[in-house]
Amino acid sequence: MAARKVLVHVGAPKTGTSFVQDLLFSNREALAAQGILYPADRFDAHFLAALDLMELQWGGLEKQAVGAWDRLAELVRGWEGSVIISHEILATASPAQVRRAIESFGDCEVHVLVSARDLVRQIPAEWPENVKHRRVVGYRDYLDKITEPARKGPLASWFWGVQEVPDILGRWGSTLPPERVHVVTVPRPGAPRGLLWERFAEVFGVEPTAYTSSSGRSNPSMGVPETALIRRINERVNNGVLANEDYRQFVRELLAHRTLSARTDSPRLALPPDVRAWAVDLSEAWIDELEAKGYDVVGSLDDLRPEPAASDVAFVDPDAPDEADVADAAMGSIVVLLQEAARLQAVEHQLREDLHAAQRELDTSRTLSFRVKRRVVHAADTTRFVAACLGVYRRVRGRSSRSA
Amino acid sequence: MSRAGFQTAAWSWADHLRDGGTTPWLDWLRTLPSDLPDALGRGPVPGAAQLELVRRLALRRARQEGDPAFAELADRALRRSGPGRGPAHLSLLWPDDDRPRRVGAPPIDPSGIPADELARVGIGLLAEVLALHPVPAPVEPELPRRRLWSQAFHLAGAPVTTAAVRSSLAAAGHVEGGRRPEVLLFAEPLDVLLAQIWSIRVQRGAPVRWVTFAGRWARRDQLPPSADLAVIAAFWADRVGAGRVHVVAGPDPRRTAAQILGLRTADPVTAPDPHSLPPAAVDVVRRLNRVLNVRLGDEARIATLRHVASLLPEDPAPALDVPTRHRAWLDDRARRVADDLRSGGYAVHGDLARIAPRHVGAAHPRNRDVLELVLDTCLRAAELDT
Repeated sequence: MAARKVLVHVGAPKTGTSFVQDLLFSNREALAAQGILYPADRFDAHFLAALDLMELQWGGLEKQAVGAWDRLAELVRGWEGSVIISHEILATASPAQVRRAIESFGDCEVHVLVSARDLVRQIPAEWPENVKHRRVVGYRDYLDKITEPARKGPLASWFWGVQEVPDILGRWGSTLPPERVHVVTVPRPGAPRGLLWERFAEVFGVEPTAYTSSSGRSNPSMGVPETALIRRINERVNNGVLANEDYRQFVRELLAHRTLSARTDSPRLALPPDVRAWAVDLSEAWIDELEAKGYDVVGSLDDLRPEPAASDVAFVDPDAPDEADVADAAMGSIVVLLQEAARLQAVEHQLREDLHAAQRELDTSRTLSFRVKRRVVHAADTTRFVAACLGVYRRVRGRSSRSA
Repeated sequence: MSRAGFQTAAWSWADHLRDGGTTPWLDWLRTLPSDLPDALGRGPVPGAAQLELVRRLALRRARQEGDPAFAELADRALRRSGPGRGPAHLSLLWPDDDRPRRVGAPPIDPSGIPADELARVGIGLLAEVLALHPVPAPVEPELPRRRLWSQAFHLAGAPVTTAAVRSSLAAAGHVEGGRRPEVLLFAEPLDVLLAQIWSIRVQRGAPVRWVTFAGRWARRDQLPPSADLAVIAAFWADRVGAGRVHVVAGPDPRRTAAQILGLRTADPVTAPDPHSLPPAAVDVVRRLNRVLNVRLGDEARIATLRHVASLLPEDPAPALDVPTRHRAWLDDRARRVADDLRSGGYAVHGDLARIAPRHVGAAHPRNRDVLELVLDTCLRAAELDT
């Protein structure tokens, strides 16, 4: 009998994690038939479990996460084969939280997986994630915060928590033998499509061609003008102007993910030369560290070495974008929002019609005595005598009949 | 010095702290004896923030060496991490190790950890200690029935002030309600009023910071509904007549209420809900909300919040001020409210100039004060003396 095995994929963000989670979720029944459990009754089940494990607030969603980690762990303990858990915010778990997670799996073989991409691509990709979550920090300010050695402040501590691959593996893998700590490297641009999934599949122990993604859900990237636009929108809609749930629906999903990320011909986010040099240097240190640890590397640590800067592509500063590009992105956004407003208005009209029809039907089905009582209650609002009589009636009945 | 030396020194310090000791880390290193037992088998050294939290807890107590109850609390603190966002782990500074580090946050002298970070770690410990002693959901006391002939009155306005007066009247047997009531609208300086509303929202579970809360209303150029005294007064004037609406703008609202209504008041047996908490205490509750929202369902969370509020000190002053950039807005709103109340034909008891913001409080709760309260509340929740 195969040993019980749990593979926890803990990050990093922007390394194909959304793609993998979508594929695992949409193929969970087929995987289960092969003895591999992806324990999720909803797409964000592992996200909620991670919020619970790390006692993390997330714009109100945390209230749906009460008890989620324990429920997940119970499913893990109840499965005889392999289990895969995946969410990139698990990367920031503290040693105590990691200990709790591993202990909660019971008696089984625990593996940890981090998917990693080179820092020169990761750093610019992380800033729009901040912006899509309502932050207004400018690009240069963001870079200064994450490159500052003391790592002060919530932005820096989050960045390093989710991106510092050797430290993440140090926390998650501290009690595991190195052969159970896996690093999947994201191939360089231009690599064959599907190579990243093949690498994940190797670690998961599945045949890569047997599973495909159905929804095509991914975490697409915005370019320079698009990210600048969302940041400016944040400055206008934060501080109570737009509630979190509305922001998620309209700004993050409708604008950022479905509209602005489709604009792939706009200038891409990149590192300015000074930060690029720092990132290249740090990448070498990480490669050395990971090599020294003897982890199981699927792909090549060379993938973490940034490619040389393209000489024909100048750095485009998101803090000073081409205003024509930003205006164009804004116009596209306005059109999409107008279309959505029209659609929602049509839905509202239909709902009102349905409601009126239901009320008419209810009225005709109600008895005469109910209609009389309702008239008396309405009359009490305007006639003192009727109100006094009604008050006496209610006291005598010993309860409020305000529901009438 | 070797890793073994670091482990030994660090664990000896942890043991000292568990025992109620308060020596800072660097001072401990200077007086380290040479015959300490080997600590290599004791596992990873706890984080610097966790160790410093224990030291600060010990500082809040009269020293009681060898107190097993404190040691148990210390062990909880050392075993857990701070909740939510923050550094995953802060390593203890080892002065003899000057190797350049390329991975992980730089090691830190624990006494240099900011109060905000220690408060974060402390809040996690507090949430855990509270979970050990779950409180049953409060049973809402059955309200006495109003006698038909008793004075009809309704209280509104500054919520903490209103709750205190309501409790005092109820303690003397007077129940709010009745047809065509005398309406008492309690006014406070508008910055005090906003701070009271923030306090209530936090005591009901909101995790919003004061600065964010104040900023939201300023940006909308609106007041929270329960702070818009002019609107509340107009609402009741519409129903009962302006002559029955009393704006209480004096320094002793309880006494003024008693005079207006011709009723006695009495000291309530239990503290009114919401509690009158100082800003730092409200911020403790706010931080706790962030953890309780993900740990507990609604009923358990409400019960826990009420219990925590009872552990925190009641202190009526000073309230918070709005951030400087919003002061002009608030001054202007106060003028508009006072003008509307003045022209509404209501009975005014006191001076409507009292509604003007005082601008004497801090613009946000001080992290140092918040940390002290977190420490004291942890000790109280664990039933340890401070």
